[in-house]
Amino acid sequence: MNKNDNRTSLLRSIQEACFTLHELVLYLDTHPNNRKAFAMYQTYRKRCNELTAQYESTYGPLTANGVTGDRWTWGSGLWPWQQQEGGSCHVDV
Amino acid sequence: MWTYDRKLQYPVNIKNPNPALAKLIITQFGGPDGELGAAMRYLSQRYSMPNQQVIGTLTDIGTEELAHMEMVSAIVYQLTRNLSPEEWQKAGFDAYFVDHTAGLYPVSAAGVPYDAYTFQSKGDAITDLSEDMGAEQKARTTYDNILRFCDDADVRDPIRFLRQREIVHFQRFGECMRLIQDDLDYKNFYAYNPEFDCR
Repeated sequence: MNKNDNRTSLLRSIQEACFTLHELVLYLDTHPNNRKAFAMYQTYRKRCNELTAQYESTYGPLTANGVTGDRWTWGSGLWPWQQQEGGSCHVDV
Repeated sequence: MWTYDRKLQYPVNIKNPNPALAKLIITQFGGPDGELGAAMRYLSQRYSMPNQQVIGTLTDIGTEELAHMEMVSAIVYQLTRNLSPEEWQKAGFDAYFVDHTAGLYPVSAAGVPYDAYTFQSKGDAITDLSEDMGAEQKARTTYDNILRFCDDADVRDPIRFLRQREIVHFQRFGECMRLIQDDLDYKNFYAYNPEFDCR
């Protein structure tokens, strides 16, 4: 896989983990005493944070507070609705 | 306050432009059952809601609706990339082009601009949650109708994701309704306004 395929694959993993986390948040909003859901919430929150940190250290920030390195990169690269010609979202920042 | 995440909730990667389809799908941005109205509805209703759990649910679902607005906008943007004026005209989307070029503006499928009269914030928990459950079903029906006109897998995939979210939100709002009713006199849920009369 080239660098962009790796980036897309990692971003997809983040989308999956963060979506699961969000589903657990909505479920816990109306089922706050469900221990199993809360345990899953803790697992997915950890996974989401780890994957996000991994992505930001390699490919650039996912939030304006996530800029790493020695220069301002929040405004660099493609935004989520933009595509490379014939390819998927996100390019080098 | 809010923080922007620089990613879509679910991927949108559309290879083939289709302005006629964009003209239909834009209704889920600015139409009567669209994501903009959904976000405004829930984020407006939450302030005076008399149950802390329901406030949390309205906040979290209202926030997710903003992410859905971004997905719908991304779909319309990608379906209308690099088109000639003739292609806009052939798709019957030329009237929109004259007013907005290829910019995103919230309108219904019939071209009516977004109107806050498409939702209520009534200050009555039973009234508002009844509307919220109906709103999720109306949005689900709209996505079903969009799918009737859409055979591009790149578009069907994110639309089916959005349709499924309406069903999950309907379920959560049903649970919110039960939480409110549990706080009330079960013999008459409608004897008074739990958001105003029993403070």
